[in-house]
Amino acid sequence: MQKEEYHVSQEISFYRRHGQTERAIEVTENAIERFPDSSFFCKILGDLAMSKEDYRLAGSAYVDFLTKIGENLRHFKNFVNFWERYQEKADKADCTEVYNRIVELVDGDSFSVELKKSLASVLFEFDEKQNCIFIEVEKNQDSLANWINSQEKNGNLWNIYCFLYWEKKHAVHTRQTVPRDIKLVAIIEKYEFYEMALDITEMMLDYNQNDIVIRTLFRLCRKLDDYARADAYIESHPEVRQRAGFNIQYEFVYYYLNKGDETSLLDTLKKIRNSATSSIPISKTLQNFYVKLGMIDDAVEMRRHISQLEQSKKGYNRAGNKIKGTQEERETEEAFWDTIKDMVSEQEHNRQLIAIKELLKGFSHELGQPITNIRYGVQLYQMKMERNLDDRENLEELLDNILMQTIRVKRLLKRFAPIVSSKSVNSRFNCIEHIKAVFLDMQMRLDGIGIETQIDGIQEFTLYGDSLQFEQVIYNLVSNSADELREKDGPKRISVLCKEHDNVLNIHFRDNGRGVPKDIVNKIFNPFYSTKDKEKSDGGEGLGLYIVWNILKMYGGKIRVNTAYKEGAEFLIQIPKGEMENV
Amino acid sequence: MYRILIVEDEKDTAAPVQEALRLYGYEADIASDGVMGVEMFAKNTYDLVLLDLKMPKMTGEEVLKKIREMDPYVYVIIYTNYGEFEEVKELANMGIDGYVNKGPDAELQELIDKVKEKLDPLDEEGVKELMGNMDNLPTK
Repeated sequence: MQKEEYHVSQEISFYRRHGQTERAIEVTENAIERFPDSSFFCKILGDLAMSKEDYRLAGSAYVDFLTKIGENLRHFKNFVNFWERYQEKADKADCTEVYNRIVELVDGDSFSVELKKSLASVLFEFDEKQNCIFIEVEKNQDSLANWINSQEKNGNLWNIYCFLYWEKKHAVHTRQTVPRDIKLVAIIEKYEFYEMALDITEMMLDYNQNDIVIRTLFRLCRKLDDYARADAYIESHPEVRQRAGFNIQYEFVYYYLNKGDETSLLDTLKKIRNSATSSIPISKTLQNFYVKLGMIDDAVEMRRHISQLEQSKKGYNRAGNKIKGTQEERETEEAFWDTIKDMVSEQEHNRQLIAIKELLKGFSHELGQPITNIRYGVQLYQMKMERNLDDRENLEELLDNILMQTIRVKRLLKRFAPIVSSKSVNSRFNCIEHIKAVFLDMQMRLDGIGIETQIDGIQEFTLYGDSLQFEQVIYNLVSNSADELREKDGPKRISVLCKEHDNVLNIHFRDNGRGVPKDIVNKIFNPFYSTKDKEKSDGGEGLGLYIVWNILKMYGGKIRVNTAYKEGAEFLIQIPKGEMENV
Repeated sequence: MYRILIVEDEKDTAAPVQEALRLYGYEADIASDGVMGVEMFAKNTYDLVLLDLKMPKMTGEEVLKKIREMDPYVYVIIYTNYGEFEEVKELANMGIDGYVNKGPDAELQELIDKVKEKLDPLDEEGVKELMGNMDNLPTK
């Protein structure tokens, strides 16, 4: 409250305390004129009038109060209290007068929707004529929709609000009323009385478990952003999760999203997908879910599926509206790809941030270890010296160990040479030949493990860049596969298939090992991520694929694991021809 | 003689720790990964376990769980990098008796002191010091 208003209110309460109600009313009336926007003095005036038993004045003051509380419903409780007292004390004619004035203001659209609803919750039973109508509507089940329709047509939302509160108080819900209650809940939901709709829905669930009712429960919880009642229902009826209808699965997507239950979420999406093969609206919904969840590959696949559906549908009705349809489709299509492009670049950005963080973390661990070893070695030697236990042999051992640790650091730094080297010599080269050269170089090692190799596809694809860097990509991949296959029984095979499509080289790199487990597919390109045993293989610090990823990035290319490939591991590499000139 | 199990995959880290513990009169064995650590703990009797967290095959956390199933009372000291401190905090309610830093500012003496603090809360020098203080108590 403003300073001035505060002073005035002090003055009023002074007079009031000293029994000078007349004077207090006078000051309050002046204050209302001086501060026309303030609802506070209207309330005070109403209360003063009540204490003086001037009900006419009290009523008009509180009606005034209502016109001034605006969007802020915090003060509405004052009116509720007032109305209770007023009905007790004032005579019927005064009450009717206040009621009629409020209805007038409601009809004149002076109040916000929220205020109208609140008023309805207090006043719904006051009008006896209306009560009779409500009882009529209640008795005759078929007339519910008709009556609501006619009220809507006349723009008489007030009657609808009052009716809904009246229903809430008086209606009895039984097994027999379920069909009507379903309609009623739809109306209640339409007017956004979600809590009220939920109450009735819960009652319906006692008698009826069909998809519509359950779906309504979840939808209302979603709109209220509070799934407590849905949780309770699922706990007592776990079998509901298996319901297959699209509409119910749709709500489950939001439910699992809210719960953070990723497994069930993906499961639900899969169920929808299996039923979405021919429906365009369902496919579009699914596509939007995928976009929302950042599942880019799935979203793109669904988009293609939708385009196909739209194409084949056009085959049936290629009548007049074809041009308009095509343009609309093109626009949504463009918007879709724009969104996807943004998402991809954002994901890529996040990925790089995470990669750098992982890199630094791994680096500090890998470099910290030799430092610890050196410190421990030196400190142990000092302990021995204190005890006069040192001898030449110990010292030599210590120095050897320190040198060993520095070699370890050097080896780690050298692993990054392919990325950071400034000595790279750029030239045009046929990368297929370099793939073959790497295999030839590694022949001895591969033979030793008993691995068969195979290189198929196109024989020439020109890249521009440092050919040694490119070889490193292939070397690291072969090396990983060789480590994987070493322990395997039976035939061991590494194969490379190169294809060209639109000036892009597609390399399918495969081995017949155990494949990449699905849960680590997203991690294997992170630095220092390793599943290998350090002692057994050289390297094993988890840098190989990180380096591959980085080098390919320099070439404008990319790499991913094909999780659909089941006979081992398959890496899909794409390198564009054109971008090389820009390196 | 107290017997200590060092569970640590880095040979070059574990070896000086083992030797230093021996210098201080403890018996110490090395398990070079988590699986081996659990096996050795089941086979022999240990008074204290020095446990690394980041290991192949079985993480320190899993080792701790297995050890606690067998023996809820044996001393377990985690020694690892400060960087992994968050993980150590999470382990606290699984029953650990201490934590020693193994980062690039690691001190072998600190590690020995931690072990001594658990196994020999009062060593010979400590007793002497305590007795000396008692001698110096003001007399009336």
